Amino acid sequence: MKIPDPLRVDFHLLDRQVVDPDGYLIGKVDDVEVSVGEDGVPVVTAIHIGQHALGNRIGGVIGRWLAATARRLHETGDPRPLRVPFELVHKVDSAVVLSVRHELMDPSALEIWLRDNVIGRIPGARDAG
Amino acid sequence: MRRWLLAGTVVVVALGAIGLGLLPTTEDGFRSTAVTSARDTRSAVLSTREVGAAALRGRVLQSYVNIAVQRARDQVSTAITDLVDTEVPGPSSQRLRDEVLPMLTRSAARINDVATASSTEDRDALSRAVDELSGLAGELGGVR
Amino acid sequence: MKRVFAITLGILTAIGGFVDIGDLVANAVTGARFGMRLAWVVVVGVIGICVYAEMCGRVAAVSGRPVFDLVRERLGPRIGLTNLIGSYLATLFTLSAEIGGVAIAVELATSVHYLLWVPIAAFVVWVVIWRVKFEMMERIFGLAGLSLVVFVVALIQLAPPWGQLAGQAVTPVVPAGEDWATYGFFAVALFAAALTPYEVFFFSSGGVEERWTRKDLVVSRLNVFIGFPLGGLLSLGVMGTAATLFLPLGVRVESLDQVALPVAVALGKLGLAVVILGFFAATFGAALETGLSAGYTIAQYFGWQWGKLVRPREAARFHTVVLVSILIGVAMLLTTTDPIMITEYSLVFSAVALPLTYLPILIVANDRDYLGDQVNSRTANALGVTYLVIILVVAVAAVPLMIISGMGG
Repeated sequence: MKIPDPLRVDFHLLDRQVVDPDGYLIGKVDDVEVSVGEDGVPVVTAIHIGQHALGNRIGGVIGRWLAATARRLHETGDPRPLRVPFELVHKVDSAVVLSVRHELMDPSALEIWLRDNVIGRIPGARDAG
Repeated sequence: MRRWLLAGTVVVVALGAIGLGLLPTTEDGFRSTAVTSARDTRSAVLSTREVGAAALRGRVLQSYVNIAVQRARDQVSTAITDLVDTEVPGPSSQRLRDEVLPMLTRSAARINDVATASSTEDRDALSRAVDELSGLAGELGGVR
Repeated sequence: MKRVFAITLGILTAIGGFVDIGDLVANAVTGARFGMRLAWVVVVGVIGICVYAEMCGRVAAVSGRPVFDLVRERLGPRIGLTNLIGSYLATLFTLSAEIGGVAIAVELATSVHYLLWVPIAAFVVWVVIWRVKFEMMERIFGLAGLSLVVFVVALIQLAPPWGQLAGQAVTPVVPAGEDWATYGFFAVALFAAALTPYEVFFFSSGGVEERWTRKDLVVSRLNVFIGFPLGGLLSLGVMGTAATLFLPLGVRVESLDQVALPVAVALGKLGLAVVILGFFAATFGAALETGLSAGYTIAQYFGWQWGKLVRPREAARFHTVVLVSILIGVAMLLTTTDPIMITEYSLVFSAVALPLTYLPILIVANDRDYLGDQVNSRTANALGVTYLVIILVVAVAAVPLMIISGMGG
């Protein structure tokens, strides 16, 4: 793990792009989960990715709206942001690189819905440009 | 408190705008509309004259002439509508209207002639239309 | 040799890609009304876009991330969102104006009313974004856009009174019969046309799509510092031809066909055909760039997968935004609002949104965390800050000037 030391949550982590080992863009660090260890030192335990987390952080009308659309679109009935345990973070650089491939994580509900109902139905959607 | 202040300002501004719109046209206001209409028409007339002159020398495509003439005609009809829609406040405005309006309608007709003459390849008619447009531009330029 | 060829090709693409509907309209309209008295604004604008595009290229090449990917990290999600909304709306307006420009270019060639071409033009724009490879797309339309060089040829052929044009250019005062508000309004429009926000979104995201690395820094700089000024020269050619033909007659430019007229007068049918091709290529290329940029801005704020390197079904949210933006652009045109009008509004909107676009670039380009030893030099910062001040003045003045002058009335 290549992580800046000391790691500043606001400066190095929050709102940074999250990518998988192949550079697939997973999302932004929309929120972080912090717990206080036995020695009293706070540790980052996970990062959260998803518009619910972002909406809650922005607050106000727009924030609530963002969070609400994210919840509405969830088909699996589990309206929570994607939670990535911090052990899976491989390095924090100009992006946060994870050590696992994106296929192993829950994909975004919005992405799946648009892929299955809109973009995936257009001819040529499987060809790279 | 801030909201009321904001709402109050919006209402006052809106009422002001409506009030301005309802005020009767003054002689000066009418004159300014007439001058603007004449100026815009003159611009369209001279632009079309250039198109016609270029067509005489075989320098433009017919598709282009059609579109250029159509745009110029639209400009002139807007100018005519603006003038006709403006209420006439007094006798001197009426005289101005009677002077300017015929120029505008003649401009629209001569602009049309350019497209017709160019599409039928009637060089005489085209060159006549171009000359008449020059004359009209001179007249329109005299509107003050 | 191969490298020289690649560099030349890049520069030519940058020249041809520089001019879009905003530049065509703003330059022709001001040329007809003010002669070359506002030419200085084009020069100031071109230097500005060079300064900031260079920063964007550097950020993309060194960090591998487009600038707007980094904006939210440095400004926070709220200011980032304000930024996103302003930039997106400005880009959307511009996209609509470009599609309108494509439709009018086809209308000039066919005599068939432009509104009938709007849906077709938009569909073809979308198909190209959907199917054609990024580099191919950029090259074809950039090179075809080079045909606008015909404006410079036409200017020479018209044999204008050069001394008079030069005199106007060096005495930038408000001419008789015009007021300062109108002069100011067109200065703002010209400045916004040179620095339209989508240009930097596209430039920095394009750098990432073409997988620039530090090795490409030189090429990127050559494209910017040679290509953009030569593109600016084409803009001045448009202004000069309008100044030569229309200013003495007192004709105002209100439509795209008039922009082409001086070339027809100077060079005849062939010249006219080349201009129409140039209009088509410039607006079509810019429609592709603005369509993609609309997707880039939103996808990069939320961290979604974006771009043309992946299959569309793997970037479904990005492609949906592009598709919806094109549809909104078409809807704006189908209200039958004159595309030239939409262009003028898009320029005012861009002017207001300029600080939202350019301030973050300056901040990110100074960040050692991303750029290491490649952060801004003192010169780049001095120029960057100077331009930021100009941009702020322009943004604040844009709407008041629009109202006082009645859109240049």
